[in-house]
Amino acid sequence: MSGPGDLLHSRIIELLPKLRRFARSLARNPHDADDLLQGALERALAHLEQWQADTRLDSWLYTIVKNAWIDELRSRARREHTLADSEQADAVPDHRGDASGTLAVDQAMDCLPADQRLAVALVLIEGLPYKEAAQIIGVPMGTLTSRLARGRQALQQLLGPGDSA
Amino acid sequence: MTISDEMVAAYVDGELEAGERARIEQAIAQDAQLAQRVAQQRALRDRLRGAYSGVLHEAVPQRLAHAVKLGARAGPAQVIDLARVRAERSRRVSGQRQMKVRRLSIAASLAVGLMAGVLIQRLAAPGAVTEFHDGALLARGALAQALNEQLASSAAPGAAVRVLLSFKSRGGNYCRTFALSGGRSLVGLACREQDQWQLLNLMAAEGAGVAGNAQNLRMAASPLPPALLQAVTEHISGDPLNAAAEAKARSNGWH
Repeated sequence: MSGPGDLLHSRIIELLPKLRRFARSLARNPHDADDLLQGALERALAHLEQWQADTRLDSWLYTIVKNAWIDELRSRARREHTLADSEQADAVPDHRGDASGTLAVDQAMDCLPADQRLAVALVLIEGLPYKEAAQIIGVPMGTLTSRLARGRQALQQLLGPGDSA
Repeated sequence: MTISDEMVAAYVDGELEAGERARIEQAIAQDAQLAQRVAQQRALRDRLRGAYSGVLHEAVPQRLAHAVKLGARAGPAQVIDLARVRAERSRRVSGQRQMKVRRLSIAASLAVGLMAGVLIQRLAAPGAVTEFHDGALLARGALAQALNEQLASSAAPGAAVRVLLSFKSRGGNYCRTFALSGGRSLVGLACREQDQWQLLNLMAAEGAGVAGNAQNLRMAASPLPPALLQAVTEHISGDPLNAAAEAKARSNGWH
C-alpha cells in the first residue's frame, strides 16, 4: 500500500503543527481549532488530485482550512440567527479585558472581522509573503494590505502597549 | 521624507525591495519617531507570533494524523457531505421522532435513516449482501466474501465491493471499511465477531449531487463520510494495517 502518494501524505503530516497554529488563530478555542483542521484535512485528502505539484502544498492546505472556517462561520451565523436565545449566550466572546484594560492576544483576535483576522493570521502569524496570503484569501494584493493595515490598527488598540515597550 | 504606515508595515513584513529597504533604514537612523513606529510594528508582530507559537511544540492529536492516514488509504471514494444528509433527514423526521433520533448515537441514527430506504431494498433483494441474525447485521454473499478475501485498495475497477481500510479494534478484533457500488453506493464498517463480519455502520456514499454554493462545497466531499471516519477513530487501536499485516491477518482467517 505504498506509492507516490505516501510522500505527499508524510509532507502533510509534517505541516500539521503549522496548520494547527493557523486553525488556532482562527477558531474560538483549541478544541474548535482541531475540529476545524480535521474537517479541512478530510476535504483535502479527498481532493489530493486538485493540488498542483508546482504550487506550495502549505498554501493549498491553508486555503482549504480557510474555506472550512468560512463555511463554519456562515453556518454558525445561520444557527445563531435561528436560535437567537440564551443557549448561545455563552458563545459570545468576552471582550472586556483584564484589569489593565488590555486583552489577551486570542481575545483581541476574536474581536477582528473575519477578513482582517485572516490577513493577520496569514501574514503576521504564519509569516507568509503578501502575494501568497492574497492568493489564499482570493483577493488582490491591495485588498490584502489594506485589511492587514486595519487589522494591525485594531489589534494595536485592543492589546495596548502590553509588553511591547 | 514621509513614510506611510503601509510602508512601515511592508518593511517589518519583509516585503520591500532592497532599494526601498535601504531608503527606509536610512530614514530610521535619522528619525526617532519613525524608529519608534517600526519598533511598535515589530513588537506587535512578535507578540502575535509568540502567542501562537506554543502549539508548534505540542504533540499533534492522533485524530489529525489519522485523518491524513485514513484519507490516504481510502483513496478517492466519492461520498456525501454528512452534514447535508443530517439536515435533509431532520427535515423529513419531525417533532418527537426527531428528538428521539437525535439522542441515538450517530451510527444508530444513520441505521434508522437507512431503514427507510436503500438498506431495505438491499436486504430484500435476491443475493443480498447482509442478513439480520440475533439482532446483528451480518455480512453475507459478495460482501462477506470480499471482507474475507480482498486486500484493501486491491479491488478490480468496477468491483461490487471494495475494501478500503483494515485495522485492529481496541477489543483486538479485525475491522474493515468497505464501499458497495450499485444503484446507490454505500460505505460501511464491519468488525469480526464470532467468525462473522458484523456491520457496525452503513451509510450512503454518493459524491454526485452535492448541491448549493459551488465554491463552499467544492471540497466538501471526503474519502470516508465524517460519521464513518468518526466510527473508525472510535474503534481503531494504533494505525491501520499495512499491506503485510493485512495479508497475514487474512491468512490467519482474521482471528
